[in-house]
Amino acid sequence: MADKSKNMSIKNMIKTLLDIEVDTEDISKLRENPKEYIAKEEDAEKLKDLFLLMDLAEDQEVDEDGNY
Amino acid sequence: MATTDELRYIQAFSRVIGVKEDDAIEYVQRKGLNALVDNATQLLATPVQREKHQAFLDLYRMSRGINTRNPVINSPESASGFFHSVMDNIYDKEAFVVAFLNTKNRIIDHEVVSVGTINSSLVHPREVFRNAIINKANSVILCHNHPSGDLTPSTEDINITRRLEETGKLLGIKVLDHLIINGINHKELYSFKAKGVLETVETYDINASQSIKEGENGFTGTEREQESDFMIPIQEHTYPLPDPDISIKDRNSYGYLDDEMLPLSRERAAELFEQDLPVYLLYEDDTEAVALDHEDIDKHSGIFGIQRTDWIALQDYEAMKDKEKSHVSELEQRFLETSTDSFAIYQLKGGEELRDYRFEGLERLQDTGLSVDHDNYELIYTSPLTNFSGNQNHTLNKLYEQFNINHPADFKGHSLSVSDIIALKVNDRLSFHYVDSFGFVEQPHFLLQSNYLETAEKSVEQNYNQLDGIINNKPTATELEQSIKGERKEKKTSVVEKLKTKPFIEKDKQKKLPQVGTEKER
Repeated sequence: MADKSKNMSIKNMIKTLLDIEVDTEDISKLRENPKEYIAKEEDAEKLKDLFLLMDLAEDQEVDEDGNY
Repeated sequence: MATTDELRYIQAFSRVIGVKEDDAIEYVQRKGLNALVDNATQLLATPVQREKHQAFLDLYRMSRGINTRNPVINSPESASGFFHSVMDNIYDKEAFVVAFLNTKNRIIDHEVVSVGTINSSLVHPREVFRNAIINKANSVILCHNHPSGDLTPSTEDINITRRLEETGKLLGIKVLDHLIINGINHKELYSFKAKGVLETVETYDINASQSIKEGENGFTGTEREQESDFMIPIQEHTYPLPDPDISIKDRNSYGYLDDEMLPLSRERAAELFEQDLPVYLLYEDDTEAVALDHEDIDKHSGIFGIQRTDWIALQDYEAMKDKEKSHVSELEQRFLETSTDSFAIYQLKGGEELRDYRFEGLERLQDTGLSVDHDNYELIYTSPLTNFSGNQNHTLNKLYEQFNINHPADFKGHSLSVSDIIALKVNDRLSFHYVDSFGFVEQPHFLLQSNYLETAEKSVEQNYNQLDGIINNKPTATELEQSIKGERKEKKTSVVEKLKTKPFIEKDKQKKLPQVGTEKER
């Protein structure tokens, strides 16, 4: 899959998913230091959940087919 | 994954997407954990859940593309970036590192093969490829550093590269490139591939590699033509594509190459979008964007797509619905054909359109201009009628009581209520009784004799031109002969051709046309 960001920016996608505002389009930075890019502290928990889901989805993808 | 991890995964999924945890667990039990990502259509009941799921997929894919732990390598520069990250602490020594890549050029793992002077005795193919095999790598990229800063390869570097390239060919693991980097300037690199030292046709662009390979099939046009004569055509997919008007080849020619996306024309895209399926706008530069509304579809000048997993899920769902339908039809056929005294229970089909019929007394129903129509009902349950007292009303009351207080375990309908129909078959005489607010009212026209034979024939023969009141009738030998001759004369039309000539708008109209039985009853 290639770039789907033509219609959806990272900010928009996170707004759709978690109903929170983030102040960056860099998902790596957001992952490393979420608190720097959010307005409310409780939003960090929601982001933590999302990144956990992404990590588990990736682990699952690797586990299932064995050869990545 | 361990069970605890699975549960954590399901819980996180439920919280983020907004589905009930129990529903997600049940779905995973039926379809497997991967279905939460790949095939969640049936789990996602509301547009909001679907929108969130799509956003998650988009974000997940984007995130994987920039995953620093396992990045996708698409250029010598991106490979160099990766090797710098793993060789950060060993620039003062010469080190040889190999990265293992999957078919999508994503790094699976890497290994530091040797630290110190690079020579062929230390960088043995066995050491390089051992973990490539264990990791089931599709290709490898080699890299070593020159602490001096001078990136010029030595003769030994070139020899090692060629030796490893040959070994890779034998093992079926491609050597994509060999890089030399230094710790002084991260932007400097020497690519054996770019300099032509490595003669591999593989490129960093997985799609371009494919094109090159396709171009290599035979050195001349003649050879290619000859070869194609003997080639068995490869079926693009083992399942029907969502749109017969546009093929995978068309999609590839357009410039979109991801095989997980099945191509659609505008009309078909609009149709599937109506069914709440995620539809994509495909672009010639091999990118896509999700269509958020009809306007997106109308404005897009290119082709469209649907994800393979979504399409397969839709087909599974439709197959399941067909199966249920055929089960109901078989049940009715069994009831109508049996010579044993039996009863059957009909209940109104599901759906908002029958709201005005549900639980309505007969008088009120008729006052509002509605009538009891067989087509609105489905047969829910049938069973032999034991201990028939000879009193029809008494039997109906007994059944009413039983199907409210103590119904059989295999009865899947709701408790018997107003608007249901109880059918009795006693001494081969059929009668249908509307469960009214008070008592039962016989419905002599619910299923006329001709209708029920027709119903049975439709189920048994699947042959609408033989609705002649004879179940399982067979054509005569002469009829068969004539039909075969007729078929031979007519050129066979493929399903694809038939679909092509059928305008898609008609589909909806066909669904609404009254059935043959309905017309006859009126």
